[in-house]
Amino acid sequence: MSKLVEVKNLCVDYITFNGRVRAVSDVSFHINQGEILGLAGESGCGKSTIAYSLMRLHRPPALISEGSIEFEGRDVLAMDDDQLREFRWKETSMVFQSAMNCLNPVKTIEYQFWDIFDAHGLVSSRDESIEKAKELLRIVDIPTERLFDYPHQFSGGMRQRVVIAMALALKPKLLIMDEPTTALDVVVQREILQKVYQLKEQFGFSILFITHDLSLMVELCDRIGIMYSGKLVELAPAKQILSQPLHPYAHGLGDSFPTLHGELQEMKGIPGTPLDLQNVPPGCRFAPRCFKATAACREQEPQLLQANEQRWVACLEPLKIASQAQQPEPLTQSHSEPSETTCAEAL
Amino acid sequence: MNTATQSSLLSDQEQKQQFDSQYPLVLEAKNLTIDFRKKRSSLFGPKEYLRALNGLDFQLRAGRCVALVGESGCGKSTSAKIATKIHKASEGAIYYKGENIDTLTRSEQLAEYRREVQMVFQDPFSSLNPLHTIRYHLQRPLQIHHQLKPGKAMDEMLVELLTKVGLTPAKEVLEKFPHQLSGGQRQRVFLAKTLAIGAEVILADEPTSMLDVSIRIGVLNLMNEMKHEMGKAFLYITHDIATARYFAEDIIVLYCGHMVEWGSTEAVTQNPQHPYTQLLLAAVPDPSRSIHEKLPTQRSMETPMWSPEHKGCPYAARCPKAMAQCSQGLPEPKELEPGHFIRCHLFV
Repeated sequence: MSKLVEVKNLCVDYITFNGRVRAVSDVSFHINQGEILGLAGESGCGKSTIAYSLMRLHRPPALISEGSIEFEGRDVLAMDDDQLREFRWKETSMVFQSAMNCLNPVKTIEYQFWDIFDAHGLVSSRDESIEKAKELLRIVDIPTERLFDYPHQFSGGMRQRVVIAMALALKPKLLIMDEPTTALDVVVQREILQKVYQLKEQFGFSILFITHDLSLMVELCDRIGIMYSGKLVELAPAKQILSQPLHPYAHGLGDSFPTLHGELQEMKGIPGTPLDLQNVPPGCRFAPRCFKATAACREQEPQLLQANEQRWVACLEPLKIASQAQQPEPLTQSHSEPSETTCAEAL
Repeated sequence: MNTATQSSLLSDQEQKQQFDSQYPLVLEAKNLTIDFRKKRSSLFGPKEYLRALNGLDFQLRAGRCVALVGESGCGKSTSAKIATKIHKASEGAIYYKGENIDTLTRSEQLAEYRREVQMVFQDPFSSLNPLHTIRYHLQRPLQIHHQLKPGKAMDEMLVELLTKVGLTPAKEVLEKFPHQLSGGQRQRVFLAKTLAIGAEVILADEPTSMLDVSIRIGVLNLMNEMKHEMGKAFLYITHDIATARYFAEDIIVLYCGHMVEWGSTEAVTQNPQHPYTQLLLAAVPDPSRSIHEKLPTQRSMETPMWSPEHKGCPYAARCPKAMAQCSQGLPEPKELEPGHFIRCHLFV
């Protein structure tokens, strides 16, 4: 499989009155062609910021300060406005968190499809646009006579499907889904995700799927990355992340869902609250909430290291798994972080 | 003698009495039905109604929790709004300690009822006033409902309240504004407020759905503590059936304002019999399952808008096992096993 997107050492800062706040810090990953990559983590951990950065939709005060994003070998960060306009929606499109807010309430669905097609010069007449829009509605199982309705006439689940149809309008190679089903109930959520998977198989695009519902993600994704406070702390094949987590945070997340089957036992969740990014303490960012934290964890910051063939983890005291034989080796060169020297010495 | 053999020696009557004294009945809803007026289709057309709830019964007992589960628009929140007297039931009524709440009209009676029945809202980001400190939010109910004056005694009480809900250091938290707290902490402040007022019944309307997963369990554990140790009665409204299993003793599955299956949580979640309950459980994300498993439903239409004129089972249009009589009339409730009820033509 070839790489579609490659993100290297991405750092995104927000400029505030109290100085720079690093929302995404030194994150590297790639998305293969036809793959579903999941990003999980708590609110404020930087997962949506990454999604916006991939399309360069971030606006000041957000700023990509370091790193690179390559899309099929092209540098996304170097694109000018015209190239960006071509790139957005045609190559990468996005389904936003609440479908209720991203459709224009005073225009019909038909107009909003026309807007997309017209802006990208894909159709020559309004009739052609209507034909294409109807075809897209058919793909997401919405009756075509609903094309001339306004957004408020649809239910939440249908609106989300309309938004997915719009995201697929220009046959993008990457679909970014930022908490696409959080506002929907479980039955509608499953129907929509089954549809998305089916469309992915049909058209062969890749998906970056962002949510905090880890159990949903395990069902849908191929690989999952877990983020904490702007750092990627673990990257693993989906099925292994709950059954054999390496990072204590991934373990804690897995322990936060009450189960439907099996014995009912009291769960602990993860004590404490997420880190305030305005004053990041030295050492591992998860250390204050971690049950395995040692004195070393509070001093040196762990780097994302390869644990075995498919798995990466950023932890000084990773949990053990049965097949952990290989010696960790660095995945990326670390950037000008204050802890770099101590970390290099430790390695 | 262990408890199992002891209880088998007691007659049913005595067992019931023991249950009643251990978990006294606080709030009871009987045949709760509510109709909302719709906009008329034409100026001179007939009045049209939407039936949001149809014959809902539940009993809230001190130290126990009832969960209301169902999809959006099924009437879960409406029932809590009737219990807080925001809406008035068209038929049926709610009884608080044996008294119909519609007969509470004197202001002292109303104040007492509102003091003892409190609601916790879904969105902790908009339910606290952003312009006031946590101290203000907790002081006001004490001043209004308990006529306490700010001072040293009040301060000690506030610190004790915040410590109870796990917000420490309490003195610092008191001076913070809501925006300085995380979602889970804000929901804890809200629970502290219900404790400050002295609520006996807490109607929790999706209290954890806006919180991060890692924090959700903490809030559920706190509510569990309030239930077991302080003997509060809970109505837990949610669409997350897994957390309902974790927190509630009894569960009611609602569809379109109708109770379709209800009983003890373990019986309903481990042995679901109604096709809708089976659908709900099949849709819950489960890492051990695959996304490709087909849901046991046929999506022939959206959830119907129920009106008083409608007949039959509301789920008939989506039910894969629907029969001819399903659209004729609503089946009577049937007890499948002790404490597990169902309303379905398959079990008549």
